[in-house]
Amino acid sequence: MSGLGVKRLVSALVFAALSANAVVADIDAKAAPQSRRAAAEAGVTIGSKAFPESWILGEALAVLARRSGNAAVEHRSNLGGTEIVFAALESGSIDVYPEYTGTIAEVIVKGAARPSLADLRTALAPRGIGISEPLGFNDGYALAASPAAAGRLGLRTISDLARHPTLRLGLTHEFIGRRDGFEGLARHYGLGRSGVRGIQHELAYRALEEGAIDVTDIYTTDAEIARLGLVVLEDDRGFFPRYDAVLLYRKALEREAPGTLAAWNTLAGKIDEARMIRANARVVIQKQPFETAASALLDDAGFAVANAPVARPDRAREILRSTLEHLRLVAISLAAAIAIGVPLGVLATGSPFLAGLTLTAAGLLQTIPSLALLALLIPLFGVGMVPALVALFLYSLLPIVRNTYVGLTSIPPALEESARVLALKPATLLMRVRLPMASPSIMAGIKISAVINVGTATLAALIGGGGLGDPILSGIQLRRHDLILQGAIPAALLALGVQYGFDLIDRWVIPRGLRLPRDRGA
Amino acid sequence: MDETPGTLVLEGVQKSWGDRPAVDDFSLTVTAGHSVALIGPSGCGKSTVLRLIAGLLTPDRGSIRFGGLDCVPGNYARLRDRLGYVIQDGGLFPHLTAFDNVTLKARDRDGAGAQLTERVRTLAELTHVPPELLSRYPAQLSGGQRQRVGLMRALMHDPELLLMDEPLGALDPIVRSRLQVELRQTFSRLRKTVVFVTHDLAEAAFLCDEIVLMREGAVVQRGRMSDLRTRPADAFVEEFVRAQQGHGLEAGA
Repeated sequence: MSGLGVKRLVSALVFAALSANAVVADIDAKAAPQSRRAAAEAGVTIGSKAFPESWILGEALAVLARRSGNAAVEHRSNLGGTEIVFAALESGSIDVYPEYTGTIAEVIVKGAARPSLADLRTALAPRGIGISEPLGFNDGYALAASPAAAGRLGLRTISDLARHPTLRLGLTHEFIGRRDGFEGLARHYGLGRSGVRGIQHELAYRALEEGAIDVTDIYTTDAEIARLGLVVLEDDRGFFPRYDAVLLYRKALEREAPGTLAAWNTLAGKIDEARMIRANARVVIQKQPFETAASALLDDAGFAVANAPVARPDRAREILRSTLEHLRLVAISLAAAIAIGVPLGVLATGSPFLAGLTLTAAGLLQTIPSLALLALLIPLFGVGMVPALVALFLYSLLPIVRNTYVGLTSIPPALEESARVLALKPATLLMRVRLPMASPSIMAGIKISAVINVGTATLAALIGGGGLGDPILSGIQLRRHDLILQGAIPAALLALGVQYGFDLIDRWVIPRGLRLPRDRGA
Repeated sequence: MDETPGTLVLEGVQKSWGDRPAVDDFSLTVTAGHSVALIGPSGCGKSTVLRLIAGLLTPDRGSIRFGGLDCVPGNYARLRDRLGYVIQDGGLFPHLTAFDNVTLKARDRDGAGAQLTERVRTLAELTHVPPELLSRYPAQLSGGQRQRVGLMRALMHDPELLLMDEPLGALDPIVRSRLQVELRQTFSRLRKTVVFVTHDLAEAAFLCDEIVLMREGAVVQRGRMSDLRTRPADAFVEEFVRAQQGHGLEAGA
């Protein structure tokens, strides 16, 4: 009957999630046929951040780990931002990831101005984190100007920037937010802030190319420097600290996987800037797969690596896989949001105090930026699908809670009173009268949540949650439109499908009597 | 005081909205099986009295008892099992069919059964509802049909007290007149205690044993139609009766 419509909807979503789960597992099994032998070494999970250099290094670590005989090696790439990856390391979701000394000092340790590597080791040891010897290259921040702007204004040093306040600076958000980033730089050089806006790193190159911005922050090993002929501005007043690449690893590996750790440590001092730039260029400019670039980097650095042929990914299967992962994220988080949100909305009608409390809490959740929420969730849930589900669940709550509340409170008073005078059992009153009458509003809320959820779920890729965000993130990094579209088109179709699907479900959940035009006959 | 089952007693009932009393020191006794019409100009408090009796409002002062049972929040459930409440347009739930509206409370208590169908059949006959209408939704019924179904729902659990708040207010004159005749038959057949709120003096006189004329939350005069006409308590009663008789038309009595 009508009152149970919402319950049916939840069970349908749970069923959809389970089916998607089964198919994804099946695809996984077919894609990875190699058997896993029991290993003396504990299996390791390597993490890397969402930019090519980190991904290549992560892949190189995977190659070295496998070569050392570790049979259970996993690489979680595309993790978004330092806070997220480090939180994943500290919580044990990953065992190792490539990091930079400058980043460790500023973002993780937050201690003295220019700590030595020994200082950093001392600071991280109590947290169970070890730091390898430097790999050999410095990937520091620098500012680079487009050739056009540099030629026009004769820009050569960062000091030159201060003389041209009308220049348009497109800076990455992390760079703007860090003490050793723009804030410190601007103070050090006396730069104005008026022309500054935030932009994603990979998009900044395109903006430079198209002349939308004049200057951006770059990393000194970016392959794009050579390709676009960017003028790297000299740090003439010595502001930027060094960003020597190192490995951050869980110290527990010294016991659990000493062989693998030793294999990784052989990388120390083997990769200089030129090698790293070449490897980056293979991915970013020559569009080679990460695996190929990683093997080439190791080869370049003098490691004898059997250059295993890289299996071409089957695109149809990849699309199906990420779509199903996406669907699973949406279905599970939405089912949970309905199962919790509708009762919360009912609870909110209990008193003005409860209404204020519930609606404000759900509203506040909505205002937390998604990356911040994801970073907050990692210490609790690690990386992968679970924190992504929790975040999507939290974002889906508000429209459902609010629309349940609104639907229940806008039942005409005369009908509310008629129901009260019938002296029904409270459960009957709620399930057979109030919720069915509120169902059009509740369904509208669920529909809003579902559509938002499909879009937001693309961010799950930032914490290893999979879904259609994976190809989108990779595509942005590699500037491969086909990859971006491989994620974006199914996501858009999914959003339309969800919208259309819920229009159909309306007929099934909303009682027929509420969908009839009011007829006034004799 | 007569407190036999079915007798309704209101004593010194007071209900204010802010400073303005809606019901002011209101006392009324309706003996079992009798019907009383509350009538008066808009805002005189007649609907408020009905809502106080149904427990939809609680009085600031005074007491309400039905059949010896105090009308206080702890007793609302028991009280409501003994009363039926009908509002304008029937107050039907739009998402339920007529049948489900009528049987909602009974199914909540006892579940479905052959008895239930039998009871609905009897009531449909009493209220002149063709059985085929019962599978329709309120939106598919006419105003008069909705009103009849609303009455069926109120009578379903065989209450001792029937509270009706302008039940015929939204109907066109022909349907209204037909329903008045039907209601009168129903009242006389069932002999329930009835409190009927209306603003139509002719309807009050036609349907109920007695008329209670209210003004500003208090009783101005109680009696039969003939009493109001021949012995008006004051100039207001006289004017109210004259205004309701219309121009050249006689109200029935």
